[in-house]
Amino acid sequence: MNKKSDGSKKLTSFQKINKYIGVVVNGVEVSILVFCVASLGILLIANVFARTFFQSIYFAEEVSMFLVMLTTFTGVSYGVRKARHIRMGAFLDAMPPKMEKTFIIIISLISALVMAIMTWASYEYLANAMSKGHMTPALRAPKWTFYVIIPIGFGLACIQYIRTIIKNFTEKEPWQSPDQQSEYEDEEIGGTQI
Amino acid sequence: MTLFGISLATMLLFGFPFMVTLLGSLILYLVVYMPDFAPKMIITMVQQVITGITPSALVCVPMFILSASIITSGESAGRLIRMLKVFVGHLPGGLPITTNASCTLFGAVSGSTQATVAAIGGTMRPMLLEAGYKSSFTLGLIINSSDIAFLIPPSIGFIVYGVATSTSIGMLFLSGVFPGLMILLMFSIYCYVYAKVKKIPTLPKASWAERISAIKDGLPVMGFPVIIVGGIYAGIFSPTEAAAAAVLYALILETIIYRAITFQRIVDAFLQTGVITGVVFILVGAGQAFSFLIGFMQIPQQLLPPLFGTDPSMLWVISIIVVVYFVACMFVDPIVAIFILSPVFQPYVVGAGVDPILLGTLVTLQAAIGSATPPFGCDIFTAQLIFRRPYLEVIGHALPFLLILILATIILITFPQIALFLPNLALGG
Repeated sequence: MNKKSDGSKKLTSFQKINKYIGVVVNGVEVSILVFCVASLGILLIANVFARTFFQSIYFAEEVSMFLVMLTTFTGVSYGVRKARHIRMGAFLDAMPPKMEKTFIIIISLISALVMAIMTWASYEYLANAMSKGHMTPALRAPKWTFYVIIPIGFGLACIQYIRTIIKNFTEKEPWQSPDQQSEYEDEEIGGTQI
Repeated sequence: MTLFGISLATMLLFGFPFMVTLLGSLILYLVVYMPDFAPKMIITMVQQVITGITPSALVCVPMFILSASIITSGESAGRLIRMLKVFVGHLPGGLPITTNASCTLFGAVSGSTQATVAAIGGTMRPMLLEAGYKSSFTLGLIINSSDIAFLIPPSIGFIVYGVATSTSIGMLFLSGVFPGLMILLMFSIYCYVYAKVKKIPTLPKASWAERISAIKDGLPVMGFPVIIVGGIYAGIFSPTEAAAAAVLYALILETIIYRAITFQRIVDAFLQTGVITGVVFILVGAGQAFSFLIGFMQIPQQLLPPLFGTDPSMLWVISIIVVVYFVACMFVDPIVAIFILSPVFQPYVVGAGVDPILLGTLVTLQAAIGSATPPFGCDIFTAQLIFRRPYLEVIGHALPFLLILILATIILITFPQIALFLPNLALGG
């Protein structure tokens, strides 16, 4: 589905590194998302049985919250990379390609800026939580471990918006995201679009 | 205030991701109007995003998305359609009625309209076209029938409304059942009349042997409403537990009973669920930050009093809220609209003594209607995305369905018992 323009050309070492990083980031994000959803499912199903026959698993709520946070902020970055974030695209889609491209670049630039500010703010929030050293009630784990993913997620999202800008400067067609030309085509991984 | 409104509207219309629209407008406002406090307030925004996504009631959302994902990649939707088709297919308008009913029943598995458009619409549209229905009629039918799914539990709309206003999600679920069935009936009557007037040929009647085999095939799918509606009604499950049970049932159904999906597809369903969860939850988080800060800036206090006047009547409050949600959901995703607007209206709702469960049903219905209404309803773009048809064709037959849904809203306001009697029965009241 994904037209790779660099498929036949010889890659420069910079492009090679970029491609390699892309593969690693994709692998890590996909693994985290699959792992989190699977664990959340197992945990909640186990908790139904546990509550019916014995008593609720005491850490279920805390761990599920942790998994939801991990899923959300990994999904933020993945969503930018694959053009999956929800938006009102009526006007953008109706534009001629050249104008659309200009708008995508402007949108990505502002989005990258917003994500950068959120990265900074969530890092401050994390640092503050670390200095306070609160513990979670059930597992007695340091509370800040829940927040580590937030600056990472926003930060990666920022990088993906910057990659979108670069992609639009190097390619002829307008690209909605670095890895996905538009939201109207199937994703590379998997088929079902919901 | 003006700058804030302009930046919000501009970013919305030019296709910025909603996440960036919400967070970016807030940051802009803070930086321009209170530069001294801005860094502190932006860190507070992060805290609000976390507050938004961590209520324990929201944990059921990814689980309902997961069970729908598993079901969508398996055979359940097809079997469900066949089961309904053998019974109503031979009537005038039989196929559109099958579509309506399938969407309603599929709504008992999935919490979102988009999943329903994909699962039912993908199968029904070729059949409808072959039977002689116009393309724009089939698209309008599929989009609007999928709205019913938003009222049938589980519904993400109800979950978000319940979390935002601290209303019982279980009771909200129960309140959606009969309004959903009522709209199904109204749509079916319309389809019957439409097919009669347009003289669309009817299909041959299925034999009883066919009917029995179709029931055998499709009956296990009916386990979902039993688990979710039955489980919550009987007080066996909380919504989160019902969601977990639905995931388990979906896995058993598609892997052991139907043997329809491979391990790879299950992993894929996990991934898709993770992505949709991320995309939806960041909106909930951003929505929380947004509603916290507009509260802090006292924007509702400036806008609302002239709208409601002093001591508004119950009907006036309901009417205004219904209209505001309808308009809002034409432009933004229903989840964002519900999450931001509900806390804003809450004081008036409590003040006028409106039943929060009735209001939840009405709000969720408006969210569904608004998202199917041209020009910008998000279901229209989903349908465009799935069926790859031009915009004008997708919205060509929206009006009759819209009028029926508005009529349904008026009926529901006039006879609130349609929504309320099932939750009241469950409470033993």
